[in-house]
Amino acid sequence: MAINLRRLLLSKEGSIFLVLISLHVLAALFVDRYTSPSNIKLLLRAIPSLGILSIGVTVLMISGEFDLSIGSTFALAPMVSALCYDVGLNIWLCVIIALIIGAAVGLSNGLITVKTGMPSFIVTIGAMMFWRGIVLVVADGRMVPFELEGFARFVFNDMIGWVSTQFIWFAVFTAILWIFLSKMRFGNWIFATGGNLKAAQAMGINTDLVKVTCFIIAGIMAAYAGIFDSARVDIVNPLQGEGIALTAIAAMVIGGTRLGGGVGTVLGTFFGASIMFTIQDILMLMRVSAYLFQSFVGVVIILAAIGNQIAARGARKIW
Amino acid sequence: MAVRLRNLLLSKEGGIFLVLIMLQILAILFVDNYTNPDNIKLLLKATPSLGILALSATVLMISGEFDLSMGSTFALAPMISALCHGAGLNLWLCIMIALMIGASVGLANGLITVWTGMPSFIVTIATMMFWRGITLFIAGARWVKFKTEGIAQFLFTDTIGWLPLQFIWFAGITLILWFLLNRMRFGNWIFATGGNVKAAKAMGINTDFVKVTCFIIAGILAAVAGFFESLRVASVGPMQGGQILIFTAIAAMVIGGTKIGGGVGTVLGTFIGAIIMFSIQNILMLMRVQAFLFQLLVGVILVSAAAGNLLIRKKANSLE
Repeated sequence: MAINLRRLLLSKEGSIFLVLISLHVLAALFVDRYTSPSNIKLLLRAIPSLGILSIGVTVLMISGEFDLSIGSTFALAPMVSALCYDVGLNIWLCVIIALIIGAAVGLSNGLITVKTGMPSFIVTIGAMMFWRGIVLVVADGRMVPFELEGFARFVFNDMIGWVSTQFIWFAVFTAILWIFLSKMRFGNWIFATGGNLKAAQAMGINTDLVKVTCFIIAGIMAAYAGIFDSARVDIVNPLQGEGIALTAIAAMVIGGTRLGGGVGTVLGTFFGASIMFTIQDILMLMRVSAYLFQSFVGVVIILAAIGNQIAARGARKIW
Repeated sequence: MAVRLRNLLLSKEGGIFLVLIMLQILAILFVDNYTNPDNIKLLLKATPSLGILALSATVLMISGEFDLSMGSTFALAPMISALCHGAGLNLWLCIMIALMIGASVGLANGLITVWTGMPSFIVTIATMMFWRGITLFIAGARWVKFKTEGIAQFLFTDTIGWLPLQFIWFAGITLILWFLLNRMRFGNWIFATGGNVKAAKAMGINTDFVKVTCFIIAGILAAVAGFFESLRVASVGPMQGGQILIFTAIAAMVIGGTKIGGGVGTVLGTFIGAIIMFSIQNILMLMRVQAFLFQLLVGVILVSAAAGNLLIRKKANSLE
């Protein structure tokens, strides 16, 4: 029993989990109001927005590609949804529309990437600007209310006891994607495609299909995340999600996913996203300038990237 | 003579030059106020900020790397410079400081990229965030005044007749870079490194040195671009050099003929591309089209031009 626990804690996800716990302990001890009920409620309700977005992007990263346009999807999907809801459309239909938009943006990103052979980050930078422009046009530059009621509100923005429903979703999605990646054959294909594209193709895997599917997953998750975030604050801001792609990348690399592809864990990202948002929250409580969080995200990405490289080189030396 | 003209037009930059001419003609004919002297002055004074940034991206791109942090340098370098000048430091010293900041950021980007082997766009996205946060923290989100007098004012913000000096600088820097890339051995090395790193190494080129140097050049040029932009409006905004400007610069580079993969590029093309991109922005503004439509357009142009370049290269390769 003791040996199993030790191995669990020393695993990749285990060590990140330890970091997360330590962070919470230190914060609870030294940061005012960290343990206040309203702050805890905020953490539980806001982390899932970043988190759901990040686990979607993790799946895509494992296949070896980026999607920098998820921030725009994070705004576009709930925006269209809110506008539909405003004119009276059934809320569940609106949610489905949002998911379809997320899937469609993901599909277009994926198709352009595999058909032109361009680096995905260029394609998705272009897509990011394009869709952000669309959001601004559709919203006419203003914020759109998105107040859910009744059962919908319960599903997307409520508390069950001390845990928020969003957080339950976050955990459920993470579990689903974890099963998908580690227990299903398609998940295997994703790792193979990201690890060594040519080898995967030689094994008969349709890497184009794999990549496009991962883009779609990332898009759908981004749309979901946007819905959650907008439901939480009862409003859709056409500018929401700007820069979230980079925080998601940081969350992902902290959690142990390699930027080169082929290696990754949604559970790690689950913890990584929690860590990133917790740090943001701590800095806000300590009245540290929000700008320094931005710098911090940059540092995290660099350090994690360097760490990844060292680990990769170390592994190669063993070969 | 006709053959010469034909060869000129069919050259790499010839095509995009034609596009530029046609764009200008259409604008002059159909867009109100385009030929207004104030507007022309704006075009000539403001394009260099975008253009020098695009040149920065071009040199580095030819070596095969990106620098997405140039927007943060665009703000940081003139910011520090302005603060020093405001505190009384000699202007020329402040300019030197700005250039050194640009070079240092470039050096850091380059060293991290070659040492970790990480894709440069990841490294520079991270450094972009880092330096932007620092800039905002230093400036406290407020604009910092930046005025010059005397010779400096003449050299950097004035006009000779109808031609603003910024534009002369823009053209001059383009020529210097053209000379570096096409007439010097180091320029050859840059193309070789971007084209095929392994082959370049096999030829004995120190590709790490080439890349780091290009990062430094890119950093300095980003600082220069920010410097001109700040002097033009007599102040430095900590948020200047935002996403839209960066990607407009990259789009300018791509439509000018520089390939995203590296190894192929032309500063003359970027020069023309920058004028085109700024003209488009200017036209949309004069036509009272909403600003976010330009953003949309940049995205479309960037992806189509890059895809176009790539598909043309694929076709060319398959025909060989």
